Order: sequence, then C-alpha cells, then structure tokens
Amino acid sequence: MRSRIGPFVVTGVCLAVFAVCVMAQRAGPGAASIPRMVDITASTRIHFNHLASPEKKYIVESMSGGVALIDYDRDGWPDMYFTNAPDVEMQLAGKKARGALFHNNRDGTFTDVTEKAGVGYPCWANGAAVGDYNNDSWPDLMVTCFGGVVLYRNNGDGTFTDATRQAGLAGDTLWAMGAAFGDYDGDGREDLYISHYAAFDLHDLPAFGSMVNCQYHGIRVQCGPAGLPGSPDDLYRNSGDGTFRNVSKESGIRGAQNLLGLTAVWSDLNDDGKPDLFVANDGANNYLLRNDGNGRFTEVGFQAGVALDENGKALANMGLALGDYLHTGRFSIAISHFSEQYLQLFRNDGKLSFTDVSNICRVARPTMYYVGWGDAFFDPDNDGWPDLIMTNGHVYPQVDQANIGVKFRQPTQLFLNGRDGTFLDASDKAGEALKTPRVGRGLVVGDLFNDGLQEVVIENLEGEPVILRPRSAPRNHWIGLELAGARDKLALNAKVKVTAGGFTQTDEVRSGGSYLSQNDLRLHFGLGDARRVDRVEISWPFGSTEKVMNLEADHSYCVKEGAGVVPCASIRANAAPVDGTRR
Amino acid sequence: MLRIVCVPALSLALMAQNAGPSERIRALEQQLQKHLQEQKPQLAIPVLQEMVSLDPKNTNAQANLGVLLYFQTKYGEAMPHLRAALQSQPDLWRIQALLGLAEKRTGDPVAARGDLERAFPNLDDTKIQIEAGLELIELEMAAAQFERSLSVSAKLQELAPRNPQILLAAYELARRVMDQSLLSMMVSAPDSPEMHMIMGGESGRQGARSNAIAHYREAIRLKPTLPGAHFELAEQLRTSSDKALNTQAEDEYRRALQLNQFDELSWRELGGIQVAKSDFGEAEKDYRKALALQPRDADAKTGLAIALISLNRTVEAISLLESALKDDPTHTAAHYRLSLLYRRAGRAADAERELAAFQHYQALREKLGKVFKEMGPSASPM
Repeated sequence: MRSRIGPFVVTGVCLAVFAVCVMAQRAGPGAASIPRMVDITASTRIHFNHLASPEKKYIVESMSGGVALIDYDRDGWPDMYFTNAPDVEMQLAGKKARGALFHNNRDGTFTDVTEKAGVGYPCWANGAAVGDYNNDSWPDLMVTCFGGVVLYRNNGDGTFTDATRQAGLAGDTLWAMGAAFGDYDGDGREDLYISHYAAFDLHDLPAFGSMVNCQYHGIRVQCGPAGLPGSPDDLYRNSGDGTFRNVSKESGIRGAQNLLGLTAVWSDLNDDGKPDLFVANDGANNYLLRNDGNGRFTEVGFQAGVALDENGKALANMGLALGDYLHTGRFSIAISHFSEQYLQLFRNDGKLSFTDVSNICRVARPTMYYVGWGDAFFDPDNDGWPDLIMTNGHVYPQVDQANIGVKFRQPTQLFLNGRDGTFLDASDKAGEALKTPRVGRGLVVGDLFNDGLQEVVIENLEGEPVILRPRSAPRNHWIGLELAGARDKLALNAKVKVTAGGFTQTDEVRSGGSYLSQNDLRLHFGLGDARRVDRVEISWPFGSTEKVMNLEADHSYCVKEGAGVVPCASIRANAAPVDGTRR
Repeated sequence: MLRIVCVPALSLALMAQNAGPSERIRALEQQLQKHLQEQKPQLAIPVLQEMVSLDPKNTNAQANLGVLLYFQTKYGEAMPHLRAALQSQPDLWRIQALLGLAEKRTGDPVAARGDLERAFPNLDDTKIQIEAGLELIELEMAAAQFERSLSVSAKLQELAPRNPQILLAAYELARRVMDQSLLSMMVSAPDSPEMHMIMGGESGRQGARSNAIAHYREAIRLKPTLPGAHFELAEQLRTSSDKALNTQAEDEYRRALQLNQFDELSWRELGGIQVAKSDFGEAEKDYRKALALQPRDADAKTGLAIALISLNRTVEAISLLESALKDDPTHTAAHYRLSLLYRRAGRAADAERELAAFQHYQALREKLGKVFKEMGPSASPM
C-alpha cells in the first residue's frame, strides 16, 4: 500500500503546493547562501532612546515604536524618524518623550536634526507614515498619537510645520495607531486612512492585574486588549487645498465594526488599478476594504479569506508585510501576531481570494513562541526572491519572572524564500545580531547607503534602535527605482514589474505598513546574477502603463510618469543636486 | 405548572373509580365537581373531608383530598390521605410521587426517597416526572447515593435536554461526584499515580500548566502504563508557549498510542501536529486513523480537510467539511473553511450561507467565552 500511495502523494504535493514547484528555476537557499545580518548601529552614530516604563502597567505603554524612512531633504538618501512615547506617569505629570529625526550623511553615519526640523515632540507617538498631502514633492510626515494625529508638513528647507489643525485633522482625538496615505479616488491627491485602537482613558485606568483580562498564564499583567472597547477608524479625503475632509461615513468604511485597529496599508490587491485598504485589527477580524471605484468601499475580509486564521479564529493582528514572494504578480500579506499564535501568510490567489498558507510555507511553527510586530518582505541577498523578516518582543515584562517558557526580549526572525512556496527559517543561521533578544516594535527596510543592500531598521520599545545590514556572498545584482507620478508626485501605489534573469518580480510604492511604520518609498529589486533588467513595467495608479527597457543593473533610476527614466533632480522639487540619472 | 395540570387530571382519573353508594355521597360528589370546576379548592376540601369520614375506603376522595391539601402546602395533613389512597391502590404513581414530595417537605427524607424512587420510573407525565426527578436527585445526593442520582439525572436529560433546572442539577451532581472521588482518593491513595492524574487535571483547568505537567510526569513515573496519562501530558505540552516543552508533545501522543493504539484523540492531535510541521501527507494518515476509530469526529474531519486543502485536494476537503457539519452543525472552523472553499469553487450563495452560519455560531461561542472568562480559568470546557 505504501509503495502505491507514496509516489502519488509526492506528485500531489508538488502539484498542489501550488504549481510553483515548476517555477523554481534555481536552487533554494542553502546554508552557504544564507545572508548574515550584521548590527551596524554603532557605526551609524544613531543614538536614540525609546522611553518605556519598566513594568508596563498599562497597555498604552506597550504599543509605541513606529519608525519611518523619509527622504525629507530629497537628496536621494533615506533619513529616518523614530517615534517616542512617555509612560502614564510622565504624561500625567506633563512630561514629554522626544521623537528623533536623523539625517543621512551619505557616509554611513547619521546626524540628529530633530530640533532644527521641529519634529521632536509631536505627542504620545505610536507610529509614523510618509506621504505628500500637498503634492509639492516634499514628503510629509504623519505621526499617530495616543489622542489624535500630528501632520508635519515638509517645508522643503529641512524644517517641518505642524499642519494638523490647518489640514482639518485636529478633530481626531482618539488613540490613533496606523496611518497610510493613498489616492483612493484617482484625483491625484493623497487621501489618508487612520486606524484607531481602544477607547482608553488615562484618568480611568484599569488596575494592573485586577481582572480576568489582566492575567496572562496566571501572572498579573496590564489589562487588555481583550475587554477594551474599540474605536472607529477614519478615512480623510484630500480636498486639494491643504485640507482633508472626513468621509468615513459616506465612503462606507464606517460600516465596519469598531475594532482595535493597528497597522493599515493601501494596496491594489485585486489588480484593478485602484488601491484597496487592508487594516490589521488586534484580536479581531482584519478589514479588507475593497475600493469599489465610486468613492465607496466594501468590507470583504471574510469573503476574501483574510479576516481570520484558517480555523476561523481572530488573531492579534499587528504588523503587515506585503510582497510578491511567489512571482505571481500578486501581493500576498504576512501578518505578525501574539505568541501562541503565528506569523500568518495569506497567499493572494487573485480576484480577492486569499489562502492562509502559514503552515504550507513553514512560517507558522517557528513563530508561535514570539510576539511579532514589524515585518517586511525584502531581499537581503538580492536573489530576486523576497524573504521575510519580523521583529519580536513581548508585551509583558512580567513573563521574565514566571517560568512559562516565554521571555520579554525576543530574537528577530528571518525566513528565506525557498522559491517553491515555502520559507526556510534562517533565524539561527543569519548571524548573532538576529539572535540578540530585543523588545522590537517598528521595522522598516531600505537601501540606506544606496549601495544595493537593503538595511533593516528596528525600533525597540525599550532603549536604542538597531540597524542591521546584510552581508552576503556571492554578491548579486540589483536595481533601485524612485517613481514620480504625473499627478501624485510620490506615485503611491504605483505597481512595478521588473523582468530580468528570466523571471518577473512585482512590487508597489506604499505608504504605511509593517508595524505602524514606513519603509523606503523607493523600490528595490534583487536581480540574482542578471546584469541587466530586460523590462520595467509601471502601472501608474488610475493611469497608464509605462515600459522602460534594458536597464543596467546595480543602479538606482528615477522614473517619471510619461517621461521614462529622468534625472532625479527633475522629480525632486528644489532638492539638492544629484549626479544625473544614477546615484 | 404542575399545580394546574395535576389537580384536574388527577381528579378526573380518580373520580371514575370507586363511586360511593349513598345519596349523601352522591350529593357531595356533585358539590365537589362543581368546586373543582370552579377552581375553588378551599371549598372542595371540606367536602372531601366529609366524604372520607363517611367512607374512609374511598380511594378517590382520599387521593383528591391529599392532593388539594398538598397544594395548600398542608403537607402534614395531606400525607395520611395520600397514604390511604395508595394503600387501597398502590399503582397511583402520581399520588406516590406527591407523597414523596410531601414527606420531603415535612422532614422525612428517607420515606421521601423511597416513595419518589418507586414513583419516578412509572410516572407518565413529563412535567411531573421532571419535578419528582429533580427532588429525588436532591435527596439522593444528600444521602451520597451518587449512582442513583446519576441514573435519575440521565433520565431527566433524556426527557428535557435543554431544561436549565436539569442542567444545573446535572452540573452540581457532577461536581459532587468529582469532589467525592477526589476526597476518597486523597484518603485512600494520596500518593498514587491516579491522584497525580487528578491533580494534573485540576492544575490544568486552573491554568497552572507547569504544575499540571509536573503531576502528569509524576503519574507516569509511578505508573508508566496509566491510561490517559501520556495523552493528558501531551495536551498540556502542546498548548505550552515554551518551545522546549511544546516540541515534546508529539512524543507523548506517540507514547499514548504505544499503550493504546485505539486512542482516537491521540491520532487526531498528531494529525494537527503534522499539519503544523507542514507534513500534510503524514497528517492525512494520522487523521484517517482517528476517523477509522471515530467516524463521527467533526474535529478530525475538519483537520483532515485542512490537510487536504494544503495538498490542493479541495474536492475531497469540501466533502469532508460537509460531513463534519452533519456530525456537528455548530463546528465553526468547518463552516469557515467551507465558506472559503465554496467561494473558490464559484458557489457564492453556498459560501454566504456557510459564512452566515459561521458568524452565528462564532457569536454564540464568544458569548459563552465571555461567561466562562468571568467564571475564572477553571470553568471553561472550551
């Protein structure tokens, strides 16, 4: 019996596991090709301390830590902004926590320019996102706060102005978490989605360990999120005059329940040219708000199969990574979760149909012991197959005193794309820096030094951030793309297909994502051993499709809608001079 | 409700029996009928008292008088008349049940138990049987007669499976039986492996997983073949957040199966572990072994379906999920997965129906979950 069944089963597995076995054109990652992630924080001269109360007596003290890559001076070198948050005691005493903006010195180091930029004390900050709400080509910074949002308008001279009130966003007073800019209606102006977390009153705090929802494995801990009432999210339509109008009701997004909203991201998930919206809700069903194209959205999370886990259970959805890890041209979604849950990978099967393939992809089991936060698809070895990284860290420091097998500080995890629909857990093999336990929160990726390697920036809830740089051999080729739309200057949600070396990769320019964070808005593609890119095909949001042919590898290019590759200076208004089309 | 139903039903049945010969008795009977029809028991009682004084062997009158006095809460006065009726006609089961209830209310539990035990299996009115059964359970439990209580409880649950009074009685009875067993175990075998099994279970229910694991390990050390010990240990290990412990669960399920290859639950849980390890072929084998032993296990069918979905055998998976829902229409995971598969198969209406069913049962589960959470960690059977 065994001899008869065996071969059929093997065949079945190969066919089923998605017909992508045939897509594997090269061997998957072996031990020799595992990239090492090296901690280069010290050499960057970045010093920043995220504040945190030692005991984390209240949930609001555990949730901050978004980080943003923002090329605020448009010099083509990504700078970074770290959010910061006080604890309850500080807040009640009127003390503030200082966020920080670091300027990229183009030599591997950064300089703290917070005071000059005027972005040090926005609020009790949770997360950050980048957009260009006034479409002046200068990226603006949105900070989500416990008690609303702060919109920093980029003045183009190295400074920012708090434009929250002027932009009509001062009415947002809830516990804001996720923020994402995106032009949902095709008018060329970036609209804004803000997700809100719990209804939480600093003057009526749930006492630590006092109730059933303040216990974890028999340990007294902070209360929530279970038992806390959620808050409604908001969609703001950009009026085109520097202000936003709240269209939550008329757009249909208020039809969704009041859940505990965390990360939000716009992405064209059904490939119809219009950005849809995905929102991770903590301890509840995720929203997938389908863009119906008439200014309205329909919540289809359940129908699409992304609301819950494969058993129909709501998980603690936190961080979002979107990527085309199968080279299907569709963006799958990886969602980080609490421990005893798992990193959930929803494979995008097209037509807004997703399958939870976490077990199939082998990412479920290794992640169930950690509390995951920021996550991202990226390509540290530039082999052209997006890998997956996730930062972890518990919510309750009290777990260290209890013998339950879970620690407060946790390692970072790296999963290498096996090119057959599976991932290899390389966390223990990719260097000591990943193994170092941290209390991670925000995580972003970007080529900080414009040398073709994507660094990872992790903001920790406690203490200093970490910057990881991949070291891999042999060194593969790559290409970087910075886009400028004819209408939306940041070209948010422009979709790019890069064909090189016999396969096509797809990515998208996105605001927001990971855990309350912002990745580099420039797109990066590893090319393996391909020295040239055969074709770059860009689908501009609500616009045309444009092709650029035959680009040399190992360079970054600036592409303007309708004009092809252009000098980068031409898409960066009044920006510092750059050296031609290549950096 | 019993009071309204019982009196006329009883009187009509008994009036047909043993009619008195004298004219006075006939006249009294007419008066009695009138008072009963007018629902005036206070007026009927003196009439019946006169009838039994004229003819003490009038079973009908004795029984009716006993019934009316009982429902006037004059239990002491009712009992002689109920006994008299039973003496002349022992198969008046409702009268005997009423006598038992009256004895219980007048502080004679021994007599009450005897009468209710005799009457209970013979009662033909469900409502009366439930009332008598509940009182009987109370008496049996007070007398530590748990086996008899369990028997009565089982019969009542057959009669009215959703009756909250019966469910409460069954719950209290089960708790008492557990407490009694625990007490007996503590007295007779405090260091036995069985005692450690009990302590492991209690610790697990209270969320003290480390203690539970320690007790199960000790039970196994003392008696490696103790039935259920490896399975229970595996359950605690499987749900542990400690990676080192968690990975030991599979071995314990396998040890459970070495001792008892017909342990269906161990096969099923092994199937789940294989899915988590992405070994869907092995998962299928394990789930099929579980289903061979318990073909109506909806969890095993759903688990197998999930493994088959991972192997892209969605047609088989749909069939399994449909079957699982026949076995357990409330199975939320089966409804959810089925809705997704139907949608993928282009069966939008079926998908919506399953999604609605999922959401309905999920809401119920959440409601229950909140209740159990309020009751504390040891309360949840979920």
